[in-house]
Amino acid sequence: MGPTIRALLKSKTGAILIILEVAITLAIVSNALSMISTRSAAMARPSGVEEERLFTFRSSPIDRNTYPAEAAFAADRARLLALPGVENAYATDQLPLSGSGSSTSVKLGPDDPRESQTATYYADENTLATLGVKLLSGRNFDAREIRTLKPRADETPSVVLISKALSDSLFPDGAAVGKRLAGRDDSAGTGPEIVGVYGKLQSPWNGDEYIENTLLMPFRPGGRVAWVVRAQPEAVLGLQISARDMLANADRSRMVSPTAQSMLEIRAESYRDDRAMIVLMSILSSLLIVITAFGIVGMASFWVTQRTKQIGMRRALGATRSAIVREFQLENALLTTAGAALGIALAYGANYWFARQANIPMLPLSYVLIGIVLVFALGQLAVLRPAQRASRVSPAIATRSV
Amino acid sequence: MTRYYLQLAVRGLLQHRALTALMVFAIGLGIAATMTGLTILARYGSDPIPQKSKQLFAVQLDAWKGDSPTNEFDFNAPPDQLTYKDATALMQRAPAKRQTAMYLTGAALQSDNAEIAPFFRPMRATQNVFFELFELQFIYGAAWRDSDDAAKARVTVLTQPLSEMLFGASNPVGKQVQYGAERFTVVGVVKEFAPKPKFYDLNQGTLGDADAAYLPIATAIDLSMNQSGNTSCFESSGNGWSDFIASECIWLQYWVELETAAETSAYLSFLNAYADEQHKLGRFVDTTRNNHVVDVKQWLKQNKVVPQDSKIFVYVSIGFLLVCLINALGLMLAKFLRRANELGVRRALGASKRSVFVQHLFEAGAIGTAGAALGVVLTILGLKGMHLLYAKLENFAVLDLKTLAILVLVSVSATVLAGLLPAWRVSQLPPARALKAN
Amino acid sequence: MLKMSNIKKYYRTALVETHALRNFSLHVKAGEFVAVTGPSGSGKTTFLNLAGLLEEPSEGSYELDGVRVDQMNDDARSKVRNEKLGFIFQSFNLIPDLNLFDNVDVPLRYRRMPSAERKKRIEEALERVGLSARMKHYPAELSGGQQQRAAIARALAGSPKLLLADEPTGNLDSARARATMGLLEEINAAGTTIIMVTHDPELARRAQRNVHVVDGELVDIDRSENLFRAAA
Repeated sequence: MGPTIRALLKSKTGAILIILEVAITLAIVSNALSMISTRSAAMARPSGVEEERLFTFRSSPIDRNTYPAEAAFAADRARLLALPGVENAYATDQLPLSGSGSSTSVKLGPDDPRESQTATYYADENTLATLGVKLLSGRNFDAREIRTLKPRADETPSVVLISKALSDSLFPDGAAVGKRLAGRDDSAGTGPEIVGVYGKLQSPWNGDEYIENTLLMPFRPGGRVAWVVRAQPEAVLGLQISARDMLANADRSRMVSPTAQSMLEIRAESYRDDRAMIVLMSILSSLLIVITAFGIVGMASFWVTQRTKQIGMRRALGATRSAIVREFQLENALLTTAGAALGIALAYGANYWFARQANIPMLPLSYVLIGIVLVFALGQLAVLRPAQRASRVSPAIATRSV
Repeated sequence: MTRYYLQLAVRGLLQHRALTALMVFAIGLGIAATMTGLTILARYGSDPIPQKSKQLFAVQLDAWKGDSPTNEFDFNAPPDQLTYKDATALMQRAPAKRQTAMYLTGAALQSDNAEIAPFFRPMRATQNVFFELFELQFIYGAAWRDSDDAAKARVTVLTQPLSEMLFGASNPVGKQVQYGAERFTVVGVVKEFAPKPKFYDLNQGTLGDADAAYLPIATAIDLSMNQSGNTSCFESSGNGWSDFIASECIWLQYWVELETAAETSAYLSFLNAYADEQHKLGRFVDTTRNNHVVDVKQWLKQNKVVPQDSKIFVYVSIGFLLVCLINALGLMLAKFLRRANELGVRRALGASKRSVFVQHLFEAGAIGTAGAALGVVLTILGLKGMHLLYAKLENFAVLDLKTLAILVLVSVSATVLAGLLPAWRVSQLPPARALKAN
Repeated sequence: MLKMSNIKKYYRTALVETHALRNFSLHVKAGEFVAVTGPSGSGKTTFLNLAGLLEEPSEGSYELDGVRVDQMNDDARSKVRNEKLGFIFQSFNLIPDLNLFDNVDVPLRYRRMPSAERKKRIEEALERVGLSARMKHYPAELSGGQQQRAAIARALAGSPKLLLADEPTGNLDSARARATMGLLEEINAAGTTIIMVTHDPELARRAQRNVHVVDGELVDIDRSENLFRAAA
């Protein structure tokens, strides 16, 4: 180890540069890995609905004052169900992951410590079946409970369905069915009755802390509606166009959105920024690794040239080829160790700084460890060829005069 | 001498071409990544209405009860929109030459041409002062009159794209359009007003779509034209439109033009007095006088219009550029030191330390220039890639001449900076030793 | 031409101080051809480096062409090297990726000469050493003797007053060595002062005057004129 360290000390600048490069690379790559995995994990969460079977489009009455909302709903639903491939349909205000919707806070009484935020959706007796959401306990809405609301009506429903997640936060002991939420005035037992608890159905906002909290109200919008249509997966693409066109042409007293969106498209749109960030971080990290590797190759090659004579001398004095290779590898390992030590500090510093500016979780140690393994492997791989070149230096060089 | 240094720099680039290529590639990439990120950041951070941004203020009134509905970081922040009650009171009573409330609505447009199916367009309900406040340019006609605001007249101002869609290139002033079930008379056509960021209403996102038409706010309220945007309520908004507009829900944007500090403080005093008065009437429960006027720049900052991801990308790409520069520094050092012998000869033949130093700075500059050339190409590709990843950036984050100039400048100066150390090191080489070695 | 008085040169490291030259004085007149001899490590090379302004003396004074040069800064010394001195090295030290024309051009470039004048001088210098036809050739395409002549052309192109030669024939066979020596004598005859470091006594004898360095000191001065006179 003696000569290795001495050689390093002699080529101080180069060594410092390699250490810095390794450190910054480690800091960036470990943070990028963490970011990529956080976002991939978010994207991998199921929305709770059978996305590949669903599509949606909006229909708005042109003259709300004269529009027969309930009759139009019934007629449109019959038209949709008559289309081959369509399995079910309902009309609502908002959809999971769509980015816009309503939310409210729910509690059981005044100063309830378990008060929780939840997204609310308009729903009817066909909602669960259309979305493919399972009822876990209690009952579904009854068709007679569904009311059509005027635009901007803010009414308290008499019955609601809630998601398992919301049920768990309000009723840690389980039994939610049959209980009543607090009323408008916060008083216990005067609000809507929870008649059923369903499995998973996410809120419209993918970045929301309360994304799993949702609540279904037995309402149907009286103005603009979002139709949600369930079809066989292979029929979705075609129906997206034909169902929309059919409804748009069937009745000119309302306006249908020019295109329908599949639930998969809504998901892609919802996570577009996350996907973009994953792509960008992957590209930058990969390029960074390549550049650092080439930097190490370049610097090591230079050192080989610079030390040709010294290497020849050591070969003449009996050093084996593998000893020379090992020496360069050891040297690189030392540099990487120093770089990694500095890099860990930088990685956590950068993480702390990012975290202060944005909603970014603490950097898990595992990603730093992956990063360290990566820079070590990278360093050893990069130094291999220059080291082999060094090992081929002829011992005869030593005897050549100046 | 400059010419000679340039010749030497080019010759230097052609020596050890793999090293040169590596440096140029790394610098080009680093510069491109950073400039791509900075272009986006700069666009988000750009002043959407530079001629007036210092005189335009968003109004915040603390009509809220409980934790802030819009600011997850500061529970005490006042709401960023107004109730209809307060908006109408301010429009009538607040001391300012120009001010107006506004909200985003929309309607199904019906053409008299039956061939064209009804289509939806976003519209802004506001007062006629809006056009002066934000300096919209009229192509035909003019804003509706004050009396139209008062009389809830069915009048509208179209933007050029909508006007051309409905009426072609002809002047539509005086013609009728149908919004939903109502017929409106066109009084003017303006050039599309599409500031980015859409500072005056950030509810549809920083880069929200431009409004397609304008109509008097009193008319829109009268026709119960629903608001699309964010509504926050701390109590029920009641049952239906008339309850909604009388409710404590906040849903209107409010902008005022104030030219002097005196006007600003007078306006603020009015807001506080108004808040006190409302408090006495049982509203405005919070008496901390958390009322504000916020200029455009601060408003954008307060609403965090610059996406976090863009900032993170820029930080990461600066780190990336740093690695590229360190890399270039090391490789330049290696490259320069390899010609120790030649430099010894040059020193013996009369080159001073300074000229050796300058020669190598020129070479660093040449590497930076080559890096910049590659960087320009990669930045263009990078922005294209960004448009693919984020569709909303298309026609928004584009490379302009200023960025291009900055790119070249940054690339060359950063590389020259990185070249300082290697150039200094080779200029200090003792010439005598190099001459003996061979 | 060259006047060194009480020159000392020592190299310091953290642990030791090595004296390369101690109390070295030498006076070379214009037009002289002086050979400096001495065993390995005697200080010959240090002397040449000091004379050529490649290194600075630790103590003592050095006057070149009537000007004190020992206290000059790097820029001024570089200018002196460029305008008054010419160097010839044992290993020629031509720049391998420049052709002969460009090699000879190097010192002229640092003199900021107009290009027409440079061209004239380069052609003259190469003509003088008989390499006009090889102007576009690269050093590697030439024999050792041709390379050394090219190096001499490069040293001459700037019309130096003093030519410093370090073992100029050390890498050449004897025939080429003699030819190179002849060329140096011609140059000297045309008026250029030459100081040549060599360990070859035969070569040294051909100089007008021999100076012997041992352990960093001038111990023996042969006055060749006197020898000639004595012989005569």
